[in-house]
Amino acid sequence: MQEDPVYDFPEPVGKPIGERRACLQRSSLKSISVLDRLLLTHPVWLQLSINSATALHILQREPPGTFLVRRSNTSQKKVLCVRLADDCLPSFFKQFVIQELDSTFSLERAAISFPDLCRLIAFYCVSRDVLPFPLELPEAIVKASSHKQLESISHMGVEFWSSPLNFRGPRNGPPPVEEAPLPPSPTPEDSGQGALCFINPLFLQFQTALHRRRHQFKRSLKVRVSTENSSPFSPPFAPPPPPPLLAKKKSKKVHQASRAVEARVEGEGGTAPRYAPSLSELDSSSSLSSLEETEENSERPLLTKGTSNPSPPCTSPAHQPVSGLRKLSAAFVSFFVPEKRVARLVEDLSRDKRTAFGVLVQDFLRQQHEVIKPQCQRSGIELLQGIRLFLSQAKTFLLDCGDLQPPIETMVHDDEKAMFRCVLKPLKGQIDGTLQTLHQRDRSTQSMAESLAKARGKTPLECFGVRVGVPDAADVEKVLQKLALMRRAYSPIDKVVLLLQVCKLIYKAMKDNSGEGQEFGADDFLPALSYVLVQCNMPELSVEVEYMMELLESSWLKGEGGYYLTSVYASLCLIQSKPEVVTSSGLTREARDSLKDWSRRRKKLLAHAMLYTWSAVSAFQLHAPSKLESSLATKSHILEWPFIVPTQGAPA
Amino acid sequence: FTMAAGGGAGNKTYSFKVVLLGEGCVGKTSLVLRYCENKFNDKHITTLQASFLTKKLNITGKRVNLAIWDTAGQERFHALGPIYYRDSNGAILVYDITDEDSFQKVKNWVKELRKMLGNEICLCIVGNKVDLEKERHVSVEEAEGYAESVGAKHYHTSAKLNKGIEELFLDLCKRMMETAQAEERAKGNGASQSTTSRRGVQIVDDDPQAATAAGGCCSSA
Repeated sequence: MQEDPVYDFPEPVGKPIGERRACLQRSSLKSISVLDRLLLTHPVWLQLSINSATALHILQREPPGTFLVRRSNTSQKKVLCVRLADDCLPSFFKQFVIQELDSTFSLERAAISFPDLCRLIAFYCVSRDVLPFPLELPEAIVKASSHKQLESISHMGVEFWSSPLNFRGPRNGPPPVEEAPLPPSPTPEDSGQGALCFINPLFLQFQTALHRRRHQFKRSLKVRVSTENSSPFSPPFAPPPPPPLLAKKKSKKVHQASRAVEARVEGEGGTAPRYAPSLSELDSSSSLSSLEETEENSERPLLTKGTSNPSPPCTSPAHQPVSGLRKLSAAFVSFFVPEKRVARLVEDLSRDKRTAFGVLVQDFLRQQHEVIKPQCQRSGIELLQGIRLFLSQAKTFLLDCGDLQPPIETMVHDDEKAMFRCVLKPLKGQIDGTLQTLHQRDRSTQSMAESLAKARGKTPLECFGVRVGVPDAADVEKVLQKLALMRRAYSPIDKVVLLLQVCKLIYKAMKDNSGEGQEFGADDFLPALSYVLVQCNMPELSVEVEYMMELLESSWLKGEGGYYLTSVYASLCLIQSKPEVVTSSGLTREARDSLKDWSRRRKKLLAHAMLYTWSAVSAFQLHAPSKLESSLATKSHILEWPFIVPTQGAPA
Repeated sequence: FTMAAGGGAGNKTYSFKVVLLGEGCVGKTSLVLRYCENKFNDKHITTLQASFLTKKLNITGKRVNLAIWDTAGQERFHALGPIYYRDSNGAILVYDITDEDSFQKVKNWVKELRKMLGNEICLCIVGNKVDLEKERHVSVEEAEGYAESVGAKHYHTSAKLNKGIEELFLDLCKRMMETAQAEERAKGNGASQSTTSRRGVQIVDDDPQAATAAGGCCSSA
């Protein structure tokens, strides 16, 4: 059958990010997915013809969680029969109607629907959602290690249940009975409460105590956000009112942004990494979602209520019977631009503790709130690296676990805005405070301030050899405003967009002061940029650059945004280098170190398939010998140029 | 699905970063402008900035996105080079055939790049301004011999006459694709399916042998 295993085993510690398979499996599962196991053995659990009494008879000897699917004679609907704990009242046996609407399958009262029955069952093997606990496959099916074994089980059909093959060995323990089976509550929000049996791949060590049983999370599950609400069993429901205010206000941007999305998809073939918006397309009205959100949030109905938010803030009848995901789908209708919709979907998932992703993100946030403190951190870069690692892993997890449908999946993959929103937004204040303290502690902010002060007295030409027009005071004021906005944004992408706007202002000033049609390369731009940054006198800018460089995905850093971010970084290095050696050594030791760290980190992140050694990394030290100028042309010097490390003893 | 960052997979879009190095006044900006301008001669050009340019290509059925990073060539910015060229797939080192000094600078860059990025980076040494053949100060033999000795390819261009430029970039792209494909294969042998690993972070070999092999011929030039 499939060669490619659908999921892998957990490798909790030190698994390089970027491994596509972050999903977790119990160790007894070899390389056969739950879905495949279900598909192969459906003659065992899918017993459409049996009646309720037979199902009860079969299941009574089975451990809690065991299930069958049969068809109800009266309603002709499929029914999921689940064995509960022995002491459950009124019976140890409960049936759940499976709804089939528009060729999707969902459990009655559940918010999520699936393209087929197997996927539905596979999902409920992982997540209990509206069930009292997740489903359990028979031990023999779980433990089968080959397709052959599964086929022989399958071959027995219903006979399997009474055969010796159906051994009922000791399990990892009964399903959790710490919580009572759910009453048939009309408020699906309730079903989100209580312990869930998901595993957070990043924090296995913390989690094991909490989660006594490990459950597979099926990679290829497709959870479909249902847009239907016409179930006869659902209480009457009024769709949440679309936010007309918002719609009116945003309509222009909606249009722009969707155009941008189309253009990108077309231009990049949908597969290439996305770069920052092009400088030539930028204008000051570019949408900066991370700055707009404060206002939006007040208008926006709360879509999902996770367990972190136990008291439902809204009790109006219109909201009560509708599950989070249904509300979300209604909000999906049309008013938001695709990117924003995706960001919201992901954000809501991240807050929904009924999803593995939600558990993952919320646990991370909780843990980060504890540790993002100056006294807990050695350096800002380390702090940011930890977050970047999580962003990548969580994104991989989200994509792998298949909570998203393909078009959305692609967007989340290509565009990290959604991830930034659910991870960075809640942490922004704390990160900022901690980074500032750390940079004060290591005196880098002060040193930058001193360097800026030294450079400010000079003319553009003296300063960096600027030979072109530079922005006047009014333009510098505009630049300052952009930079101030930049500091407020949590999204590194938004920050880069603002940075690009700054660069555009600088280009404009250069053009205005030169002949018609002149194009400027880095020879002219870098000096001008350095000059402007000196005029802005914002020592905190290096913290911003650090934030962007560490948190943006490396494919981003290859694009235009990455180029200009690099230019700002280079300018700051230049400014910080000692004036007397600026022509020869260029970079300060701090700059060299941080660059080294950066490259080390990038290597670490990408190391998986890389051949590299630590000695190699340590070779990536920037060093330019002083007195280079004078001897540049001599051949003897060229031999050593430019990475002679020993004299200055750059740290290894 | 897989990611097409960096080198990219066989049937995906390749994204390459190419860094442009060379002393001020050798014409690297006009070279790259000429290249990107010719293909994209539309309204964009008025707002286009020459420091960072992109180009989309289709080579033997494979899509290639080229990001061209210009660097400041003045001596005072020399030390900033590594900030720009890290993660590069290719480097274009431009000198002015009428200016011997600019050729020396190219040699410096080559040595530095080999040391920093290893042999994975595709190097192009470009003698620009061949329209000024009469004032040539760098001999063709010397330049081509040097390029060969360091595993680089040499090109003669004139931004003014739009000569040799298309060829230079096309050739570079092909070489970068080959490198990426070779890497892809090597990765495949390693049985690792990590799709996020990207080209661009290379072996930075501090082994003296490698350093000699890469740049030992500098002194002979």
